[in-house]
Parts: sequence; C-alpha cells; structure tokens
Amino acid sequence: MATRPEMERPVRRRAAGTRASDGLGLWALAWRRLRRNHRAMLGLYMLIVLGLSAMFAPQLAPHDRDQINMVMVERPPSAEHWLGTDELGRDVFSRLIWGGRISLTVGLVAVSIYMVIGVFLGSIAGYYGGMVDSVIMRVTDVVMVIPFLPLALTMAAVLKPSIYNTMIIIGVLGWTGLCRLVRGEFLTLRRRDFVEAATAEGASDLRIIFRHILPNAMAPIMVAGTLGVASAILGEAGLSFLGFGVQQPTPSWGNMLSTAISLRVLILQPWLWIPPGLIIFIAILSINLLGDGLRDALDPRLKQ
Amino acid sequence: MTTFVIRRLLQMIPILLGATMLIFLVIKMAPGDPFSGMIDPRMDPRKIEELRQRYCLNCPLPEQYWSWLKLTLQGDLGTSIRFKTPVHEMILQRLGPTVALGVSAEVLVFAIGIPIGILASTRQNSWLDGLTTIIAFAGISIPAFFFGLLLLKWFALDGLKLFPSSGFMTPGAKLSGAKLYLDVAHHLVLPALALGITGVAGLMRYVRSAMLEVLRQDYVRTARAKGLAEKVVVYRHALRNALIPVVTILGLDLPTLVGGAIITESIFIWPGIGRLLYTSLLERDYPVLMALNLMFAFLTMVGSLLADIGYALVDPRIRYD
Amino acid sequence: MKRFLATMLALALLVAVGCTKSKPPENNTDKPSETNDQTGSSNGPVEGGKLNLSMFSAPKGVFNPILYEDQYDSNVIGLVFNGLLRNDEKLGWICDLCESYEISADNKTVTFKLRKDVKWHDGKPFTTKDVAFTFRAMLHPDYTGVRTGDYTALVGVEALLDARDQLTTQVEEKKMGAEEAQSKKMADWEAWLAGEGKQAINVIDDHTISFATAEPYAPFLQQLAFSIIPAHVFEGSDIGKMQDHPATKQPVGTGPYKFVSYVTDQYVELTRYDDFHLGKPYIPTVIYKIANQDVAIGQIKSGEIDFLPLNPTDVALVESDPNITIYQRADFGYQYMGLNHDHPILKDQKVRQALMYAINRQAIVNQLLRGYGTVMNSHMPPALWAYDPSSLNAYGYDPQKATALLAEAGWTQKNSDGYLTKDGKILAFTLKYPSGNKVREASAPLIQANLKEVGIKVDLQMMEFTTLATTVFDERDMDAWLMGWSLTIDPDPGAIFLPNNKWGRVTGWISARNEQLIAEGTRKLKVDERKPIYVEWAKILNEELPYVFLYSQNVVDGVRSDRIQGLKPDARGTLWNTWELWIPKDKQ
Repeated sequence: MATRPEMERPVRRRAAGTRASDGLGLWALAWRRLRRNHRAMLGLYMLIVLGLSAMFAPQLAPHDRDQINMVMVERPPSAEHWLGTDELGRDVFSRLIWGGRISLTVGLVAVSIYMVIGVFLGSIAGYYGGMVDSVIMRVTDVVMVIPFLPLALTMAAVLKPSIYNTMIIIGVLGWTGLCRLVRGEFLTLRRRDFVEAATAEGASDLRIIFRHILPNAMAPIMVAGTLGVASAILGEAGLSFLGFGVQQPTPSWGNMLSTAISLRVLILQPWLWIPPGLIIFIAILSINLLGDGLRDALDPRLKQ
Repeated sequence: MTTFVIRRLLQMIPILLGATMLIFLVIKMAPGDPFSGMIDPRMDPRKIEELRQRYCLNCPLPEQYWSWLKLTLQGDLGTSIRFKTPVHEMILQRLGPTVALGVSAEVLVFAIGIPIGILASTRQNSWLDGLTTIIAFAGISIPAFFFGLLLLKWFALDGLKLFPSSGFMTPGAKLSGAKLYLDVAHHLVLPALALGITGVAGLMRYVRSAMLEVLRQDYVRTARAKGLAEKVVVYRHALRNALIPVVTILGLDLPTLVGGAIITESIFIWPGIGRLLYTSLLERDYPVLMALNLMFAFLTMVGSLLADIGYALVDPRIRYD
Repeated sequence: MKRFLATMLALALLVAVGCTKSKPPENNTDKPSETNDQTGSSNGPVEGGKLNLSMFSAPKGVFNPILYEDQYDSNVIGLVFNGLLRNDEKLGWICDLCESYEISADNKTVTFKLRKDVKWHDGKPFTTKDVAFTFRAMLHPDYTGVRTGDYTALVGVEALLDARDQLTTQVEEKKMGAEEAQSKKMADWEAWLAGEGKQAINVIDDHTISFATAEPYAPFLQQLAFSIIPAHVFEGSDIGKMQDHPATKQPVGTGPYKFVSYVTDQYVELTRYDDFHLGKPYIPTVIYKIANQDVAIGQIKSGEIDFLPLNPTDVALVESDPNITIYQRADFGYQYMGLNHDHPILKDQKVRQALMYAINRQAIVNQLLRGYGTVMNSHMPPALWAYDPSSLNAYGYDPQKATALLAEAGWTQKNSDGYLTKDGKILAFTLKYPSGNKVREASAPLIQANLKEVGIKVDLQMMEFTTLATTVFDERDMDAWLMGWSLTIDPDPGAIFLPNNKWGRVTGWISARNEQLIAEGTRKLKVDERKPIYVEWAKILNEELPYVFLYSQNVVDGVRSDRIQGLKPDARGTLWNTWELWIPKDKQ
C-alpha cells in the first residue's frame, strides 16, 4: 500500500532499504512491498492479461484477423463478431487482440530504449555539471532540432518498413526531453545533504548517481515513461502514414484507431473507435499503476 | 548568472550553425523535391526539369546549403517554391494566430494542470485522485481529433451554438480594436480547449508525482512536525521544490508554442504554422521547411536556456559553473 | 520530447486530416442521379444574400491561371476568370469570351471573333492583346509555370521546346553555363516571335485572332479554352517575376465574381461583377470557406455552408436532412494499380488478366464507395464521351478464371503457404500505395486478400505520396503501385500512355498500335470521328492491361437546396452557373 505521507513512520534517509545487509535483497524486498500494493498488482495483472492475450492471439482470436468479408462491412457488434467489423468486414475483436502484439512491443520497447538513453545521459549531465553537462545538453539540443518528419520519410525510403525500425527511430530520437527532465532533477538533488553524506562515506560516483540520487528522481521519469508509451502506441500509426510503421494487414491499436477517425465513425460507428481507444487507455493506466507501485516499492526512504 | 547567460548565448551561434547544416541535410535527403509530387498529365515534364535547374535542385548539396546560408544571413529567407510567396511573409501571417492559440492553450494547461495535480497529490488515493487519474489517461489515449469534433458538436454546431465552428475571425466582418480582440477570443475558446486537454493531462501527472515525492521528504515532515499549517507546508515548502519538472516542461514547450498544432489547426481551420509545416513537408517546399526548422531550432535552444535560468530561480542551490 | 511526442500524436491523426482533395466544380460530367426539385422557386430569382462555398484545403494564394499548381487555387480562379471557350452540357466547346469561332478547312487554324462587350474587372476593355499575351507568356523562356507543354502543337513550338530541352540538358551536364543557355533560349524565342510565331498566334485586329498548329490537333480547342489574363496589368513587367506581381495574389479577371480578399488559410471573399458578360449575378457575395471535411458536415447541416463535396461514406450523415440535396455525377478521374512490365512475373499478359479477374473490384465500388462509382476496365472514365464499356471485357470477379489463366501461364504448383510457384519461384510482388486517400488505403488490403485466394503473394507497402511518386515515376523502383488519374475533358490519352513521356514511360508497356491510335485520335477533330478510334484504343488496353484498372469514384455534392435556387447541375458540375444562382428573400 502506498501509504499517505502523514502516516509514514519517520525514517532516516540514509538507513536506506537498498542495502543488501538488510537481509533481503533489494529486489526481493521491493517485490514484497509491491505485492502489498493492490493498485500496482491490479496494473500488473492487467498488463499480464494484455501481454498473454497478445502472445496467444492465434489461439484466442475467434476469427482470422485478416479475413476480409465484403458483405459484412462495418457491422455493429453481434454474437458472431463481438466488437463488430471494420471497413473491410474484418473482425474487430480479433484484430484488437492481435494489435496488442505490435502496440505493446512498440510502446514498451521503444520507450525503454529512450528511457535508458535519456536517464543515463540526463543523470551524468546533471550530476557532473560543468563541461560534461554543457556538452551533453548541447548535443541534446541538436538532436532535438533534427526535423523528425523528413527524417522519418528518408528512413522509410532507405530502410524497409518494419516494427524494429519504428522502435529504433522512436527510441533514438525520443530521449531528449526525458534527458532534460532527469538532468533538471539531478541539478537540484546533487546539492542535497544525503549526496554529500554519501560522498563523505566514499561511495563511487556511479553508486551515488544510480543508488542515491536516481531513486529520488524517479517521479517524473515514471510519468514520462507512461505518457511515452501512450504516444508511441498512437504515434506508430502516424509513422505508417509516412510509410514507416507496421504495414497492412497487420493490425495495431494505433492504426485501428487512426483509420476510424471521422465524424461518421464518431457518431454512427462507436465500435470502431471505442475498443482500440479503451484498450490503449487500459494499457497505459496499468503501466501507470504498476509504475507508481514500483516507484514506491523501490523508494529507499520507505522501509518496512 | 549574467556571464552564464552571455556564454550560453555565444555558444548558441556555432551550435545553431551546425544544426542548420544537419537540418538542411535531413530535409534534402527526404525523397522527392517540390515538383515530384505533381502527378498531373497537364504539367509539362520538360518544363519541370527546366524549373528544377532554375531552382538549383540538382546542384551539389554544399553549394545549395551555402547559397541558402548566404541569403539567410542577409535576412532573406527566400521564396516558397509552391506558394510563390516570400517565406517571411508566410510565417508572419501565421505567427500571430499560432502564438495566440499556443499561449492560450499553455495558460490553460498550467492553470488547470498545476492546481489539480497538487490537489490530487495531497489527497493521494482518494476518489478525487482516482477520478483525475482516469480522466488524465482517457485524455491521453483518445485522439485530440475526437475532442475537437465533440467540442464542435456540443458547443458550435448541434447543441449550444455558443462558439463559432471554424476560423480565426468572422469572415467578412471588418472589425477593429477591442471588438476584433473579442471576436478572435470568441473563436479561440474551442481550439484552445481542444489543444490544451492532452497537455493538462500530462502536466497534472507530473505535478502530482513530483508533489508526492517532495511531500515525503524529511524537511516537509520537519515542517509538519513543527506544527505548520498543512496549506503552508504544501504551498510554501513543497510546491517550490516540485516545480523543477514543471520548469523543464515549460522550457520544452517553448518551440511548440510557435510550432503550431496540425490537428487542432485542421479541425478548427486555424491559420497556424502547424498546417504550413505539414503542407510544406508533403510538398518538399525547401525554403519554407528550412525557415520553420531554423525558427524551431532557435527556440529549442532558448527554451533550454530559459529552463536553466528557471531552475536557478526555483532552487537557489542550483549553480552553473 | 514534448514536441516529439506531440508530433507523433499529431501524425497518428493526420491519416484523417491530411491529403483529401476536392474536385473542381467546373470540370464534370454525366447527369445527376437526382434531379433538383425546385420547391419554392415559383417566384422567380431575386437578388441578395451570400453564397457560402467550401473547400477542404487552403489555396496557395496563387490566383493566376498560368501559374497556379493547386486544385484549390483553381476553385477561385474558376469564378474570377474566363477563357475564350466554355463547355455546353454535353461538354462540347462553345463561345465564352468569343462571339464565334471557326476552324479552317485543313483543320489547322482556329479563328476567334471576340465579344466586344467584355470588360476586365478594372474597367479596361478585353481585346485580342490579352489573348495573345496569355498564350505567349506560357511559351516565354522565363515563364515559371508548368503549362508550356499544352501548346506544343502551335506552329514552330515543338522545335522551340526541343531546342530548350537540349540547352537544359547541356547545362545539367555542365557543358554550358546557365546564363549562356538562357540567352540562347531568349534568342530562339525572339526568332520564333518574329517568324513562325506570327502565324502560330496571329492577332488580326482588336477582336479577331487566330491560332495555327503544325498538324491538326484535336485537344487544341481545350487548350485554347484556357483562362485569359489581362495584358494591361502584367505587361511591361518581367515574365520571370510574374509570381511576385500583385495581380497574381489579387487577380483581375472577366468572370462573374471579382476577387476581394484571401484571408490566409481561412476564406476567399468574392463580390459580384455587375458587368459580367453572361449577366449580372444575383448573389452579391461569395465566400469560399476552407473547411475541415468532417466538421463541414455539421456546418452544412447548421446552414453555415451551402455547398460541400462529400465522401461516399459520409452521405449517410446528411441524406435524411430535408434541406440538403445530394447530387452525384461521374468523375473525370479513376484509380488504377500500375504494373511494372519489366517485372519478370507481371510482364506476362495472362498474369495481368488473372489479376483483373481475381480482384473483386465490384466490392470496392459497392462497399468502400457505397455504390457511388463505376468499375473501370480500360482508361476512359465514364464522364468522357469516349467512354464505351460495351466492347470491353468486363473482367467480372472470377477467381476460378484467374486460377485457370495463371495455370496457362505456368503457375500450377502451390507451396505449403498456398502460394503458386514456378521453377522454385513464388508468384509474389510488392504493392506500393500512397497514404491519404481512405478508399485507396482500404482497397490495398482487399487486393492483397483477393490475390492471396488465387495463390498470389502481395506485400503491401504504404508510403507518403511524394515519396511514392518519386519512387515510381523517377526511380521506377516498384513492381506494382496504386494511384489515380484526374483527366481533362478532351480524351486524348497521349500524355499518359505515349512511351516517349514521363507518365507513359513508367509501365514499360510498349504497343505500336497504341501509339498509332493515339496519334490518329488527335488528328481528327470531330467527336464522331474520334470516338471509334478511342473505343478501339481502349480495347487494346483492356486486353493488354498496362494497368489493372480499378474504379472511378463519382463526385457527390451536398447543396443546401432550401437556400440555393437556380441550380442546373449537369456534366459541368453542380454549381457551374454561379451567376444564375439565387437565394429566396426569406433565406438571405
């Protein structure tokens, strides 16, 4: 349970639960805390369900996801087609299950790539400051100004469109904002007492950065990550528009949603946009719940 | 601080120069040119070749870059190949409406996002927190396009006809002074709402989580222990320290204020930079693309500098050496 | 990151917003499916009111007929300018700015007697000087537009353009400096003006002018119908800088409506021209609003706009509205799947015919177009007088026939995935198609699924339009692609199917008979002489299949019929007679 601040027992910061000497390993301890957090566990379970259903899509989908049926076009939900059919008479429910494969992979992998880059560079820049900071941040500025759309067009023409290229382009270009965010946190955190204390204890720079400061900077990182997954899932469809994303007939939540965008669908055919919209909502909500829980579980200040 | 700012401004010159080279390269590498999208049997292919030569589209890239740079340094952004209009005019025509929309949406984002984020954090896990979380994530997972359409349906077309359905001002009405501003403001409400919604959702989450983080810190607890009123604790001590990510986001948003918003502009027929950028991308209108990207590059760097200044204001312990 | 993510989010939605093109209202054919019931129009036309038209993308603001490149600019140009000729309801050519015209016995010279009562919007008289200026400007070496090629038939122009082309090539190969080439072009031009040019464009007096072609050339009347620009406005300024001329943004024409202003990305305002030569318009003001396609449906229902081109799928949203009448007519364009005839599999005619049988094109028309369209079996779309499907093979959906044809071509083995193979190779190709047109986007997976049923493997690759255009027409790096043509009233298909030009070259399809018939079709001037030629030509395409022809989508327009009276929708469009339209007093 993520306890309300006023109910926490006061603990000294440096008596950090991150120490292996507490008897339990960091991860084991975190897991124990996480298990007690119902919201986080709900998020975890929902993610597992989504992941499993995507993994076992061939077994779970009631219809062939690409089966076109031009006499059953844009039909509302029925016993045969639980979530209706799309503009080519394909089963929306089956495509939704399959769509998770692309969307969850792109969302999670691409965002992980840029989280790693962004967090690493941001931490280094913010911690060391001076020249290191200056160089990293100017590089970030330059990467930030690369015009993304023409680059996507070029890469679409040079590389064959694939989900991997999609993840790479999002991953390689997406880290800059997070890098600034993390650096901003580090700028303020590195002046705090506990860092000086750790330095005095002779902890190595890397240990200070990743064990002492980073856990305190997790809040915006988690938010950025969750928001990032949502944009990657939706944005993947935009990349297909430029010839870069996953190609038809492969479904993804993003392309299902984006082909549904019109006044007619909004008013007359809600089964074409609500299911993909709702599932993206569930996915990011779960990621967020789990993320919040993980942050609490890994929080060095909470010791139980 | 002053020397820091001056140093950074000086640094900006070579970096901006390098950035323009990179931007130029990326833009030119995209397949096609301003004429290759003209798939129309009535357009003379031989004349098109001649025009390509006239615009030096087949010249070596360094030569093209150099002539662009020379003109730009003289303050000439060139003429659009497809609009056949000087680029600075095109940008200026759209800059006002773009900034008006961008700033109103941003004000909305901060005016709603920050208080709700704080409220949610002080009542963590309450129904209010849950509700705002759900609304925030719904806002993020459902395309802005639908919000735009729904807003129009409810407030401009079918339902309450409170606001105009499109445009920047009333067509044909020759207004001036305060009436003009009122008219523009009237047109601005719905697009600003539509554009702001996703931003509100995001900022709310940042503020909430940053506040939660700060509220657990020792000094906040100390403040509480000293018996300070909760309000004072939250607003005087905690909030200030939760503002670091907010400052970062403000800095990151600076280029988007003039960058426009393609979707919102398209739904509400707002004469903004976003649509211009998109059209010129699809048509490979190089002079326009270069000018816009140069502008974004400059603002990105200014935003980065402003954020650094902002950090120091929020947290006096932060120093740049 | 915010900007990056915002861009990505935006992109996700652009699929809906980007790249929808409206059709020009003045260019259309075939009878409307529903006739206009003129309820309440018993009390004759009255003046007053405001006509609110819509278009889905902003014009570029290049309102100069010889310079514009964009369909949306042409919407405005159509109201402001006139040509020497206009169309009658059967799309024949009748006088607009002329009193009469005459074609010489050898079919090579057209002489126009101009109307004497026409004035430009600024009050200056309209004369042959304007006519000659317009056509000469498009041939001038400094001209920065792309319409020169339409006038190749004029006496001496072909040689002039060939010489220019060679000079351009020499500059490209660095054998000559750009300035030297330009001065040579100017010298050639002066020589033409002093020589053959005098015959080609011959100003006889202020109101008589003739044009001469080297050979009889049927599409020539259409090219001469081009909008005339005012010589007195542009004369004396540099042709090469015409795009910077104020009159390019602020046009002066002879049309029913005078240009008032264009508010960037918002609307174009026009006001009636009292001295319009076909009669003073009833409606004083026209506003051409830029509208979002989805929002516009709400706007026409609420009465904010009076006219709206509709997507077939959106008809359901307005058809029950008693105030809105829907008109449809056949279009001048069609969609096709282009084939690379150098591809080892697609070069086989039997395979191409199998593709025609295997793709359920009727389903595209019935479902994706909601019936608002026609299946195409050759090049000529239904709007053209050259359209005659009776002699064509209809290639009805027939997978068995496709299988049989593929077997004849040697594709008999099937691999474990169900795809046909021959000599160890799979019957497979990649289909590239552009994003932006929703019907076309949806047709790609349908084609893929249909072809899979007969054992053909198709990989789909969606691309941004300009990228695809470059890949196909400049690099020829494709097996098959989806695209469409938007054609002109004159059916001459030379620009698209003659292998000596950019568009005709792309398939790699060569047929001597094709070239012969196209040439023959342009040498006869009468419709009834030309039609059999095009029917025969269309049959060749129908059999040899340079493309897989798909469908032609109808133009569907919604009009506020409670407001707009006086409509005569026909092949020319729904609102072609703008100056005759009127709005009842109580609706103004």
